[in-house]
Amino acid sequence: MATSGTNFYDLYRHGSLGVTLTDALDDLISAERIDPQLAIKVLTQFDRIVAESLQDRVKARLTFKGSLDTYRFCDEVWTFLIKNVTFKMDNGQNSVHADKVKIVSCSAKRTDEK
Amino acid sequence: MEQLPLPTSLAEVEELIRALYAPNTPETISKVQEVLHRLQRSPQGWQLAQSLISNPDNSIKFYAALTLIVKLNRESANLSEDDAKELLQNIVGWTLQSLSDGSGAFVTKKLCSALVTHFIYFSQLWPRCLRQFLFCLDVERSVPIEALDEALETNIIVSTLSREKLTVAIWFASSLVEEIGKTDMNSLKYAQVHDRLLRNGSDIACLLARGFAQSTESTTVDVEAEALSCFQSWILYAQRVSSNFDLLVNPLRELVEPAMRCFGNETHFQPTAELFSDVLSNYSSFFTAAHYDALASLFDSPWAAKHYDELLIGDHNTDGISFGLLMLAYGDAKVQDLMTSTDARSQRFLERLSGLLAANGYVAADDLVFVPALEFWSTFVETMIDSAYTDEEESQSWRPNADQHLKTVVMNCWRKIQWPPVEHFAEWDSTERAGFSDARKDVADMLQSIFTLNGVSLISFFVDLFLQSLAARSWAEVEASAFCLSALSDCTTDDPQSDFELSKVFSSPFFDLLGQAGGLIPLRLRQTGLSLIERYCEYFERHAEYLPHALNLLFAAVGDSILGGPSARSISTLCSSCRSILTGEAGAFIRHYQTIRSGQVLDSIAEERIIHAIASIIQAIVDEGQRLQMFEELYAIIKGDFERSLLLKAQPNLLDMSDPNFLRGVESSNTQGAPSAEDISLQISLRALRCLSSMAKGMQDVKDHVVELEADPRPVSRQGRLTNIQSDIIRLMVEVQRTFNTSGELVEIICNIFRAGFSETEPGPFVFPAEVVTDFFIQQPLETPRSGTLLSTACSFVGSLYRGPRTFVPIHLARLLPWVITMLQALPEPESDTEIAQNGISFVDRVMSRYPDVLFQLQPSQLLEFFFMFTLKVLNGKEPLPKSAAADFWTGFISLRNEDIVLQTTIANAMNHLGPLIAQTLVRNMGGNAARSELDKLSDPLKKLVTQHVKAQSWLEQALFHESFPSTQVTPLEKMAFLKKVVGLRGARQTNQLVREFWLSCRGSNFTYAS
Repeated sequence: MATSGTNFYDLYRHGSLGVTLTDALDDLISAERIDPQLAIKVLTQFDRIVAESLQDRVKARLTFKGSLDTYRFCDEVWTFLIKNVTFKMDNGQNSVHADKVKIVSCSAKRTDEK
Repeated sequence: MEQLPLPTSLAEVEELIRALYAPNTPETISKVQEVLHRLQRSPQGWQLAQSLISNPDNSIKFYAALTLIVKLNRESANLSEDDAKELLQNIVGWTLQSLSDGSGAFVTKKLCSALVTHFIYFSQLWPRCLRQFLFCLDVERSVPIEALDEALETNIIVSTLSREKLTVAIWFASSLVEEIGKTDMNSLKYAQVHDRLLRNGSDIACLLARGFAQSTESTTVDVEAEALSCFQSWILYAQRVSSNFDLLVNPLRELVEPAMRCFGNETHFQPTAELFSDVLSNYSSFFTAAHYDALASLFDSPWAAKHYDELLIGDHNTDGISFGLLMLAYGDAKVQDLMTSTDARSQRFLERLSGLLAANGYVAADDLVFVPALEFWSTFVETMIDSAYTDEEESQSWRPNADQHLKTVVMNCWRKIQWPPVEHFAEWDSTERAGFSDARKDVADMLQSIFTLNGVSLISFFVDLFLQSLAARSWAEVEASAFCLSALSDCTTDDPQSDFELSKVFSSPFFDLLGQAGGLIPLRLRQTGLSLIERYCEYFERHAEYLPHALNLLFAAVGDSILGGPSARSISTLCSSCRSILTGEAGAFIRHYQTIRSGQVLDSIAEERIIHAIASIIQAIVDEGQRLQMFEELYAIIKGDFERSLLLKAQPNLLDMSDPNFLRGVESSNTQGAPSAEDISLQISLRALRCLSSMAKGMQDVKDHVVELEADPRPVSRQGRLTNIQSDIIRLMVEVQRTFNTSGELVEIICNIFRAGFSETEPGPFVFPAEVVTDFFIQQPLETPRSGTLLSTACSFVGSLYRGPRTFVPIHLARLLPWVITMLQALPEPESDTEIAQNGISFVDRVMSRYPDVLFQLQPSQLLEFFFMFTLKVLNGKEPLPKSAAADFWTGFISLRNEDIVLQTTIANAMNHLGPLIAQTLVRNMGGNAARSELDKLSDPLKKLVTQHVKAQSWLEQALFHESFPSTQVTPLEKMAFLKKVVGLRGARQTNQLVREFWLSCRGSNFTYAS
């Protein structure tokens, strides 16, 4: 179904790309090169594109193993805390180790779309 | 741009409109557009639209309709109720007129859009807009709104409409829902419009029911197609509605059966299938149980069987895969029911879904339904896994059926992932190749999920397929089996049963065949075979009897231009994992390496991996003497390269391009003629350094050892074999760096070599004594390239010092500190090299956090004064990374406390002097100078300041009212309120939010667009 009118999570705005984009938009507004309405549109577009790109265009994969320490499911959000995690990339590079990893996952379809 | 004058007559306006739509230069079109915009915006715009609409030229009529929309959007607030009613009657009239006077469809559609725009602004005048429009269409004139009460029932009205009128009504209905759907449902401004739209639910149901009921008589107007598209728009809208839901959804649900009948019409099959697929995928709750039952019956009909057969044997690129996607969408929506059902109809449907994985042709290139079908089956497997862990075992009577389907799925996938013949593959474009590889990865993912359900039996299944295919010499099947086994490597544990199964593979004749140079085995299978060995390195740890054979195979492939890279990677993984088993083979491996490199120039990365592999075996040798001897043997080879490189640099005439030792310095990517002797000598050194770095990584211990922090450092022997080796390595690195003193890459590799030793707790050739490392750093001149990397390595060095015994740490820090600050002093501006600024500040921060006495006793003391001012400048600046380091530094500095009274007095004095400056810098940032992303970081020193220092409030107050405060948007009262709240919060987490709000107030409302 056409996605016009459907909403996308804005959680990727808090990632490094989103934060940097917001800083850049702030700079453009300060320099009076764009107005805030355009900035909102850019961020909305960013939400959409990130979600779609992660779904459709990212083909890189990794597998990881670790000990599941805590998990919860609250307000349609799963949270996993995993300890002693080893990530293996599919391009055969060295594995990466992390003492603790937190995974927060939201449904690809928001509740209002189900 | 020069403006055109406003036209003085209607004829001129018409001329301009024609010019706008005629082929013209962009400049002309811009000028025409600009003058027409001015006309539209003028008070005469309404009149202009009215005059133009009667023109026989379609483009002029279209422009008239567009003008109406523009005027409504801009000036609807100026229209009285009577004006609005009159306007509505006029637009309806013009729309009816366009239907009868042969106007183009695009004109009528634009007039429908104008009507919709009217509804958005004046919905209270004609809440049943659709019924009103249908009534007007029926009576063929624009009737007043009040006359609607006398109209017949909507279903009677639509029953008499001609196909043409029906089409226009559907255009209006589509535009209505799409345009209103674009407005914000939650905004007060549009809430009433949405509410009134819902009240048109029963009318749209009457209209579309008639639309779906049209006969398929040959005509230029395809009412059914329009109705399908309109239906889709209304369902999409209904999905978003939260209140008065039934008003719309119930009437729309009545249309499902009529819409389903459109499947029967070949022309409408595709749009109907897309409509149902979309709704099943995105709004499955729209359909009722009866609808699902009807769809299930449809899939069980001969009609569906015909479409299914066509899908399996047809050309997907030409015929499409709509039917397959429809089945999959239905399967997805009902996956739980289908999985737990045991009735014959569900089983037949699932059988067909598994059959979608066996359509004709190769995945991605010909078969386009495989990947979506695989996605469905992955969901099916995940649903099974959920049930397996949540449902009682007795309630899983469906499980045998589901397992049977999974077997078919696995078998079909195994067939599908087999590579095509080489000549066939060569014809594919890059997208098809990538698509095929991605599909294989998707299959691997699904197999891992299935393993959760089936366990070792899945391994046995592929082992059997592997052995059967091997016996039949069916290489594509052997490759697919090996690939599937590789995919399961992460799932297997040290379970004896899976080892038993795997042993059948690793003891099979396959690996003998693999080792035969120029043998039968195709390249692709050789790659997968070597990868299989790498993936099961843990198996080889448990079954050392197969290890030598596996490694021999891998070494034999190292020289191959295609297999060399993967083989070296496998060697590195295997040797690292199985290092303790292989210690007796270290000498043989070194000789093997020597033999290979004397015969050919290995790929640089492959060579580094082999070195890493051998070094990791050497590291595991328990006897120190033997370990160092093996190390020296390997090191001697690399050292030879260094010496050759230095000699060549000194005597370029020694260059002999027939000597493989010199060819090592020629990059394979170099296509720009013959490189000079100097370039070659540098490349040989870089390559040797990278090998040395791999050696250092290989020598890292994989076991954890206890560190005694209070113990004295190990006595450093100035003689001894290990010390000699270390001295030699350092001497070589210094020599190479001195010779090639402009190479930044070289500095980076040397830093990597040092870093490899920093993480070690046991002595080793790369675990250099602290004084050696300190000497190396402080002897680096300021102009050394990549100084930032040197400083970041120095930070790691400090970290490693802190992990070891504490004695002598202050001595090393006291020697390094002046070097670091002098490096910062050499910068023309604090932000001219961000890497140096960031790492320099981080270094001082690390020293201050553990040994503040070292920092405050720094000599000459001007260095410290310089550093404080430098860090404040950075905090005032714009570069995010140094700024973040500076914020960390000041957070640590503000909260610095020490038990030593003299030192504490020094700290307090420094703080008294610096406190106002820190407050001023922070306030300037929070007053709007900082970037939004920096606010949290900058809140940290602020929080510390208000909790640790009594004078904080007055410092902050002075800063807020200082002339350097950047914003004029906040009043003194607001500044004081901010200060009061900051102090009141006493460093609590809410300070961050407060700072953010203050920053927004200082920047102004333009910046509230992002939360």
